[in-house]
Amino acid sequence: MPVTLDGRTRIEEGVALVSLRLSNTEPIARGVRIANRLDGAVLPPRRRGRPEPGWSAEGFVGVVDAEDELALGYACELQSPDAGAEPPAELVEVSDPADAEPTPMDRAVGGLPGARPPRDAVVAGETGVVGTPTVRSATSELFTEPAGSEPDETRPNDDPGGGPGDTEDGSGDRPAAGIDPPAGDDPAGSLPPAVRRYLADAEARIGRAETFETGSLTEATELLEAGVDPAGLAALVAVDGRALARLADRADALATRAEACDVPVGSMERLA
Amino acid sequence: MILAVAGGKGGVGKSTLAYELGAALDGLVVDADLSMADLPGGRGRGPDLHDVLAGRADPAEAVRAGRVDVLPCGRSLTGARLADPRRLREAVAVPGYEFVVVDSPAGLRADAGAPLAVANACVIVASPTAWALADAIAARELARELDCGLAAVALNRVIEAPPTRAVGRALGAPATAVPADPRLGSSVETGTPAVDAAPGSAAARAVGELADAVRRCAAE
Repeated sequence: MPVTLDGRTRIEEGVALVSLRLSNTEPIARGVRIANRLDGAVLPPRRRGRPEPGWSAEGFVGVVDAEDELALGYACELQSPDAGAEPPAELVEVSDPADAEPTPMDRAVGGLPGARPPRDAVVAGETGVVGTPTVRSATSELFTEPAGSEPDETRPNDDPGGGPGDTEDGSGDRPAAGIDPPAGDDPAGSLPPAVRRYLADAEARIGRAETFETGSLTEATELLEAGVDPAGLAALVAVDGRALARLADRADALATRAEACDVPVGSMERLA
Repeated sequence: MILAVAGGKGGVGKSTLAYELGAALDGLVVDADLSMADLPGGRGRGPDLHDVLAGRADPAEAVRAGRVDVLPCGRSLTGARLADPRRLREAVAVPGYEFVVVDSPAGLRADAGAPLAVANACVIVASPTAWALADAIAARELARELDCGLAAVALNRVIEAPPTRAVGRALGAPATAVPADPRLGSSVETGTPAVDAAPGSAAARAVGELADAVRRCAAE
């Protein structure tokens, strides 16, 4: 083989310290790809806090010059005590040097820590789960026009049983099941999801407020221990009351208009 | 030319300067801060950078025209999660602009690296505080590793006696002091860049100097 790999491992306190030597006996430079075979992610050498170029969580991509050697080293936090395999790393590909050079984008995306929000922050929890983060409550979806909208409605929920996660980007990529309240809340099943979610949120808040008012001491204490703030909840429920009354009026008016409306389908079709 | 505006540290005024440079260079500004949109998307609803990076829209569809044309970022966590930073290369290739200014996020993670990886050059923004300068140096290192040249350094929100020479030496390009000016601070919200609203001001002149440095870099 024109390019050979030798590896040695030393394990200290559950971390494998791997030394590798690549040897290229050919008169031309060769691109190499090394894969870690130990059970754990690669902890690459870093410079000023960032992984050296060519390193990723899986291994290393680089170039060994003609008739030259390349010494590499990395650490690997072992997932199990005796996960030290021999050899620790494998030379999986030898290629043209141009192919082996990771592009700047490879280095940026492969070598730098990921920045995407974690799945837990995005997938909606059931109503009532403590700590479910909400970026904006579903309320804001209904009240986006300036006239008559309460500025309070978009403030963060004081009570942590807030509601479903943020999905108002309209992209159609909705989080998986769990976001809509059970069908029993809406027997007709005919309300749009956003409206169902808002009503479920409001009902949950009103339910908690009723618990504070007429529930048992145990139930009230449970709410307090979960971090529900009675004053904040009272304010939110007051806002809910006003919003729901306005919603009822508006829905009534729209329902009346919808029933009274009689599209002259025949004439329109002839015109079209 | 694709120009990244980077800085490592949050809150130094990167987005405002990106907007101002967009105005001075007559370019398109792309808000690539995927988890925290900095630039307003304007009144119209439509596709945004999250949609482009998830393959749901073409970049040209997401551009919002204005005094400064902006390709805004999305504002949802779901969108941020589904966005693939690798698609940024196509996202910034919007035809019809000589300059595309990419407003990058703070930090040194993949979302900050992607704009530097696709850009031809960058402007590093720091404010004259120790921690901002340390982060600017780290951002400079990252740019170097990702083969992104440094066009200019902006020392932002300067109040008095800015250490421009020391900062320039540390980062490797001449530093331009940009004075703290409320007209700059409100330019993004009001849609009136300082280069329009107060062209004679020291702030506008500083932005002009930075734009000239970018043009010289593009010409090389």
